Order: sequence, then C-alpha cells, then structure tokens
Amino acid sequence: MNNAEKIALLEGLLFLVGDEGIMLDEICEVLELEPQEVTLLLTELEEEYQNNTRRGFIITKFAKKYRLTTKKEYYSFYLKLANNKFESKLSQAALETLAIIAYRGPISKPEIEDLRGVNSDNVIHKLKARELIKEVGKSEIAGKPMNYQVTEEFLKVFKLSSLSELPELQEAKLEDDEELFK
Amino acid sequence: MERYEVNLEQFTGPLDLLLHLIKGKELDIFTISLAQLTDQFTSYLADVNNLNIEVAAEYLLMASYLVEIKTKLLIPKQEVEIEDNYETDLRNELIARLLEYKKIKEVTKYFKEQHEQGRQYLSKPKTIIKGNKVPDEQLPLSPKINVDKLANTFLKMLERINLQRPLQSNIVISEVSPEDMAVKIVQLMGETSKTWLLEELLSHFEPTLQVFVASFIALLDLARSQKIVIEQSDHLEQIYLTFQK
Repeated sequence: MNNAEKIALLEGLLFLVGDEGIMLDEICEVLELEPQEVTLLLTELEEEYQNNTRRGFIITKFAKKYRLTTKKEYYSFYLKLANNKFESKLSQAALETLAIIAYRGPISKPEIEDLRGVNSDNVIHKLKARELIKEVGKSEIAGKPMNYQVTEEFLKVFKLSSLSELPELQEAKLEDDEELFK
Repeated sequence: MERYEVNLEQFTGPLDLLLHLIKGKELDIFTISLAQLTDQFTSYLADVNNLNIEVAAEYLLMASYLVEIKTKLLIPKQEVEIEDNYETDLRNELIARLLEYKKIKEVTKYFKEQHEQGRQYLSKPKTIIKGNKVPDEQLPLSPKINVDKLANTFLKMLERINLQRPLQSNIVISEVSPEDMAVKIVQLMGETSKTWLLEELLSHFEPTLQVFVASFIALLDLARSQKIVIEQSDHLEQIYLTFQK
C-alpha cells in the first residue's frame, strides 16, 4: 500500500467511526501500522483538509480521540437541516453546575448545592439525561450521597482534549476584609 | 440601585443575587458594607411579586443569615469573647462562599464559549458494520461463568426429574404452598445443627417444578425472617444453608 492509499484508508476509517471518534492505538490496529506512521498520516490528512478549500471536512481531536467533522465556518448552512425545536441551550444554572463538577469532581449533590446556594436536583437530572455527567461511586460525606463527574460526552461538547485543558480558576485576592462588615 | 429592572428568574440563586448587588454598587466584595447589603437584599425580596415558594426558600434562608450577621453587628461591642468569635466565623464563612461562587460564576463564560464552538463541528453517528468479527461459539458468555458447570448442573436436575417421573400416571394436582414448604424445611433442618447444601435439602422433597418454586419462596422468606442463613462463596459456587436456632 502506498502513502496515498493509506491516507484513503484512514479517511474511510474516520468516516466509519463518526462521532464516537477513535484513539490512536485503535487506528494502528485497524491499519496495521506503527503509531509514528499513523501520526504522520493523520497530520498529512489534517493538512489536506485545512489547506484544500475544496474539502468540507476537518479532523478534530476531542477527549484524545480523532473525529471527522464538518468545518465550523459552514455550520450556519448545515443548521438549516436541524429541527430547531429540539435545540436546547444549556442554562446558566446548568453551566454553573457543570463548571463545579468539572473542576471539583468527583463531587456529590449536597456539596454542589452548598457551593451554589440552591437546590440542584433538577439541573443535575438534566445534565445526567444529556450524558454530560455521570455517577461515580459514593461520597464519603454523611449519608453517602452519589458522586458525580463529567463524561467523555462533556469533553466532546465542550471541545476539550482533557480536563487539564480547563483554564485555571481565578483566585480572588484576600485583602483586608474589615470594610465588608462595618 | 437598579433592582426594579430585574427579576428573580435572572439569578441562579441567592449567591448570584448578592454578587449582582455588590457589582451594582461598583464595589468589590471586600469594601461593601454588610448592613447596606442586607437591607438591599431584603428589600429586593420584598419587591419581587409572585415569589415561587420553592425558589423563595433559598433566598429567605440567605436573608435570615444576613440579618443574623447584621444583628450581631448591632449588639454593643462589649460582649463576651465567644460572641465575637461566632460573628467573625459567620463573616468569614459568607466571604468564603461568595468568593468560591464568584470563581465558578466567572468561569462559566468560558464554558459557554466552548459550548458554542464545540457544537459547530458536526459529525455523523458511528456506522455499524455488519459481519461477524468473532464466531458465535467463541463469544465469551461472561468472564466469570464456567459454562461446563452451568450446563452440568442443569443436566443433572433434568435427569433427576426424568428419573422420578412414572412411566404412566394419573394427573393429580397437589397444591403446595410456600408456607407448607417452610414448615417442612424448618422441621428437617431443626433436627440437626449441620450446614446443608441446597441440593441436599431439596433432594428430601418431591422433585417437581411446583415444589421447587414453593421451596425457593419458602427459603427466601426464612432468610428474610432470619431463621436461616444462605451463603455462597462465589458466583456459581455451592449454596449453603444454616438453620438459626
């Protein structure tokens, strides 16, 4: 197989796995090639998509998996295919809760509620239904509530390779707080 | 204060409202007066019409908390040492909560942007390739199950039922209730103090499906009322029964 054929094979593989994506070692297994060569092929195909304006795809890497996706500049056109009725954005409460779970997870519901100052039953239920968070064992705090953690779907939806890519939380400076309670 | 232009639904909780009030005054957390903040918070709640009781509870809780701190501040300073410590604890706790919440609230902007970006890359669902990767007979049943043992046990039970079946018979329907079986089991097991194998115990009874089912229910019931203990060392290992005198 020459290089061009290998790239065609790789392209087909990326098409087949679709939004599930594929890890480097899985590609190696299917293509029967070493990781170094596969990495080179991936770079070559990526450049082909990037530089050739005649191509509609792009390779995106979320959660350590390679995915074949459409280019985001054409999203508004593809959106015409969508049924907007079902498009639900994440609420401020949902984003807040997700942020807490992403940074502080595994974390239980009472601890989340403590941080937010509000009951979070509903929002946790919705995030679970959208598979953005999952239960991961029981917490050690009183009553042993369930602990939650963000999922791979979360990484995909938020375009992250791993949680280490999250920006650092801005620590507010603890100055003299006497004034606050005068 | 622009408090009349906003409604409670814009906030995700009392901490969010507090941060809004602080921001509205263009002051930072450390310099705003708590007495003022408490007044604004409570008057804000008073202005909100149709306050949903479930939502209100959390805001009212925060209001009472703020009022509590404020009250402590109004008490003349020559109080006992303990009171002072308590007051400081409440202050610090509120500051810590507000700061922690502020950090999270600020980072949600990042999550919102990432979400906006992420959803613009579209991909299709995985294609299911039809075809047998592994021949059926090589597919593992479950990593822990010993298939031979499972099959042998089943064959043994079938064999036993077959052997006991008369060549010719009149159909007699005999009702066996779990209660009857429980009495029989307790009688049998009560005679000795040994631990029984499930199979051994069942071999004392008529090997019919009806008896099996009734015995099964009876055993579960006896275990529930703690008259017997049922033990199994591992999945598919022998089941042992012990009578509790």
